[in-house]
Order: sequence, then structure tokens, then C-alpha cells
Amino acid sequence: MLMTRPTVGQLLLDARAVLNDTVPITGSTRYSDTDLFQAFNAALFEARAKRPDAFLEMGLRIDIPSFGPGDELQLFPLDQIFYPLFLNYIVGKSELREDEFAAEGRAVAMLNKFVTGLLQVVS
Amino acid sequence: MAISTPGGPLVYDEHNYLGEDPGLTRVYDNVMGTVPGVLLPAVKMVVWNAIEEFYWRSTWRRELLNWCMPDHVICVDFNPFDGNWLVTWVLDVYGHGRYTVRPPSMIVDISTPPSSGAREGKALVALKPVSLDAEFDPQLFMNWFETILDGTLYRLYLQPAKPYSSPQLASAHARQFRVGCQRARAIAQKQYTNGTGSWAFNYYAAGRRKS
Repeated sequence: MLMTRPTVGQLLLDARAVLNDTVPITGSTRYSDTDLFQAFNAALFEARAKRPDAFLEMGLRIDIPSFGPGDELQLFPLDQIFYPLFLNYIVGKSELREDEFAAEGRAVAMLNKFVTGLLQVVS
Repeated sequence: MAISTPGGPLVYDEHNYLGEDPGLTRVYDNVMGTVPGVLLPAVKMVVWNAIEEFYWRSTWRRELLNWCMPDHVICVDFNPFDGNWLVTWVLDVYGHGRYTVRPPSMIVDISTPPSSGAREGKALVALKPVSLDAEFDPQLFMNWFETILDGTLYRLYLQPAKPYSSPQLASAHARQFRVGCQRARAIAQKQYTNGTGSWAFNYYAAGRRKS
């Protein structure tokens, strides 16, 4: 078995799969790379505020790193246990702008799962 | 045991699966196997805090030092003890004259008028390691593994807003940690003899019959 840490690009691809936003043969995606990277950076800010211990290895007295298009090959900067939580956040944040998902509460539920996962042990 | 490295393949360490420092690795494994959602850097941070507090409270590592003050010198600083250890308490000072301790590791001659000539004596000091990378005495994890584990767990459970926050567990482990430190201190005071500690005189030695 070969284990490697996931990349930021892999996280965004996984988010697109949940958002049902894989690139069609013709046309473009609904959510741009910039949008998803912004959501990812916002998740880092939220995690830094709620789980500072996740940033011990990176350093607590430095600025939170910011990612953008072109950083797809960068390794996911935190422990892998946060990977699914970040996936929830990116999906939830992206869906907030969709009236249908926002009205149904699905987007808010995904964001709440992110916060709950950071702070509690839930099944 | 398989170890993953960032961006690299698994490394198999079958000959020495607990790593270079089995005592510390055992603490890490026990904590991470018990506490849900805890991260290794956070464990390392609190393990070091627990070890430092253990040495500070228990004075487990003690050394008797010979000191010498040359003429016109009125103080001696015992720090750093060596590359791995620092003096955290001066427990006792032996020698002619009057001395006061300036924490953590300095003794000052307060004789009036100031003493002339060289003075020498002994000092009993308690030590603590410089960092988590220091070479601990092997007895730390052999005899006090549970105490260090309790010290680590209480600090983790006490942290607010974590998946593993638990004031009740923190209180229980803190109590066990303090008891462990007290036992270590008592054993160190008895010069590392973990017996009953009280000398039983023969019944006739006190000049009266045993009733």
C-alpha cells in the first residue's frame, strides 16, 4: 500500500464531484477555480480560529497561507483528518449562492457539518 | 510498523517499530489511540509540558554538586547543568558561611562582612530536561510512564472547544498526575529507595517494654 498526502487540487476535484460540476465536453464549469480556492482559503481561516492546534506544525505565529489557481499540486496543508471537513465547507460555501440549495438548507447544513466536525466527535 | 512521510512512500521499520525513543513513542501511541481527533503536534506540545511539570514538581532528578567561590566572588550559578539538563531548584546548600538562593540556580554569599578567600561546599540541586529532544533518564518512562500519561491526558482534556474536551476526565487525570508527582518526590527524598521509609526500633531501644 502506498500512502501519499492528498493535494489541494484533489480536494477541489472531489468538491466538484459533489457539486456535480465536472467539466462538460462543451461549455464551462459553474464554479470557477478562483471561487473554489476562495472557499478553501475561507475554510483555512475558520479552522485556524476554531482549531489552532491544527496549525501547530505549520506555525501559529505566521500568516495563514493563501492558495489560488496554480496551486493545485500543493499538498493539503493540514492533517488528513480535516480533509472531509474541508470538502463539506467548500461544497457548502459554493452552494450558498444557489438559491435552490440555500433555500433548502443544504448549503447551511454542509457548513454546520464543517463546524461540528472541528469541535465535536460525531458519527 | 509503517510510517508515511509527506509526499513519499511508506517506510517499514520492523526492527525497531517504536522508533528511536520507545518511551516517548509509547506515550504518543497511548494518547493518540485513546483521545479522538487529537493531532500529533498537539500531543508533543503537552507531553513536553507534562514532563517539565513532572520534574519541576517531583524533583525526581537530583544531583549533589561541589562548588567553589574564588576570592572576591560572591555568587555561583549552576546553570546550565549540561547540554541536556537545567537546574530548576537549589534544594540545599552546604558550606561555611551564609548563603541565599536566587532562583532558579544561583547561590549568593550574604556574609557580613564579605568573606575573604576562596570558599567551597556542596549543593543539592533538582534538574529538568532542556527540551523534548534531551536524553531523559531511562527510569522516567520505566517507572513514571502512567504519571506522564496522566499529565498529558489532563492537559488535552482540559482544552476548550476540542472534540476531546472533558472537564471530568481532566480532573481525574490531573489528580492522578499530582499523586504520581508526590510519590516521585517522596522516593527521591528517600534517596530512591521505595521502601516503607520508616525505621522500626527494637521494642527495648526506647527504654520501655513493648505493650
